[in-house]
Amino acid sequence: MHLGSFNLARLKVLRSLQVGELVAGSAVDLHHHERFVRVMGLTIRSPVFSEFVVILESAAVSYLPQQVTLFETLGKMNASKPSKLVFLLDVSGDSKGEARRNLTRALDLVTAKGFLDFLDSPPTIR
Amino acid sequence: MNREIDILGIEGVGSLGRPTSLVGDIVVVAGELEAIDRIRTCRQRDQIPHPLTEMVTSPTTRDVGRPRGPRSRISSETSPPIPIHDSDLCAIYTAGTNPSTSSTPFDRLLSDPPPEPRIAHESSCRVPYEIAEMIIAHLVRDLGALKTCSLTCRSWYFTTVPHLHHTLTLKGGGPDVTHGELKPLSKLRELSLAPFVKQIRVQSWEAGWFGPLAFSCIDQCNLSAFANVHTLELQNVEIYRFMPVVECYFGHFSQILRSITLHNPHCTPRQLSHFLSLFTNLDDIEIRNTHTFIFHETIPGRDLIPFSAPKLRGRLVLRDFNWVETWTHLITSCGGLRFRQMDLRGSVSCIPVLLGACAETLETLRFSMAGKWFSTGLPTDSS
Repeated sequence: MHLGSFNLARLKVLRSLQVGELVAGSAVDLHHHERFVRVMGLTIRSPVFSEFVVILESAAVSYLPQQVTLFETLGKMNASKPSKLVFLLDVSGDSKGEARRNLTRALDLVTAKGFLDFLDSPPTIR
Repeated sequence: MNREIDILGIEGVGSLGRPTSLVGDIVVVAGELEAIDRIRTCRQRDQIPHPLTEMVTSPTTRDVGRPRGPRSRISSETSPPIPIHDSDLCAIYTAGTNPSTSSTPFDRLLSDPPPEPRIAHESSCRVPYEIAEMIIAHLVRDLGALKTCSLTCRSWYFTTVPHLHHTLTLKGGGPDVTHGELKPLSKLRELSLAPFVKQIRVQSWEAGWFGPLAFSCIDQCNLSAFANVHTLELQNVEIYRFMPVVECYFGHFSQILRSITLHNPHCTPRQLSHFLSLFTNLDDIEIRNTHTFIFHETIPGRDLIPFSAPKLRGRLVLRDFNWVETWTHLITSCGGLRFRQMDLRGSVSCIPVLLGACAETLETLRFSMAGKWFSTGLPTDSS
């Protein structure tokens, strides 16, 4: 699929963009994901756009502190289109509590490293 | 081979130990339906059967030589004998008397006046209706608890019954199809419970049982009694077999349906859009897993004229669904789509056409980066 087909500039009232499997383990995937997010962020034209949601599975939480380039890209996207950053856990059942605690720890680590300095307010966890 | 038709909210009432019976090749939990019949009969007599009352007052189980009140007479007329054990009596009488005034439970059984089983009724009935509703609202996912609450008293029965019959589930397991097997539809209609049903769920692990042959003329009439159904969930249903007269089977829902969920529908893309166009007020669509490509063209797709232009202004969820033709056909017939929320994970092919169609209304977009679908055609950094 060509990225030109994925043109978010047409969406006039887009409020929330939610992306799953953005945090990847392999370097190749990371490279593509980051470029995609950067280009996608540039195409958003909606005046009411307010939040960018990263959907995480429990396994992806552990990769989060290593995603330096991804956070840099999110920073650039936030500079062009300021929005709230939300991490949404896609976990069901009894493991939800543990996954939430892991995510909180991972985000504390990311914040300590200064990856989220571009945000005006701390990220939200859902 | 057996197809079980399970009416949610009814099976637990039969925990009194009624046997199930085989009707045709569908296992219908007949004891439960009888129990509901009893509740309805008693409701008409302004009485609600209560298991405690029945246990204490049933005259055929054990005559303890005490006069019985009017409630016990009504109960004994309407209910079959239920065995009662010494331990049950001891427990009941111990709960109703002061331990300091009686020596043993058996002595109390012979000497003390019978306990007043209505105490439990009255205390629960004193709870204001709004409070009872709030309590019941916390139990809507716990059918066992709901069934227990429905047996508490009259007011709680009326509070719980809409939740108990909210979803009607029709289950099928085998590929064989016979006709006239949707008896629970007629039973619910007979019991005046059909208006409580808000959602109909058809489950089939293999495609086959839920088809035109499963419907008799009476079943089609019975469907019209389900006037408040707003959600339809069809699993492994062979939609192509209802073509081209799909409105004869689903036409009752054409004005009332708001949401539809299709798991692995068996049809062509054009037949699917034709089917969806039947529901004028449809807002939400969820389609999952269309890996099975079975093309049964009963009539050519180009001859399928849409029934209406559904509203489609709610939520669209697609999982591994990549039939673009379904949406192009629907957009052509509806003059556009108006979805406000889209979850398009695993449905990459449909993204461009759907984004274009909902450009004016889409507020929330969810998709997945799984796979390498975006790896080609990316512009260079300089672009």
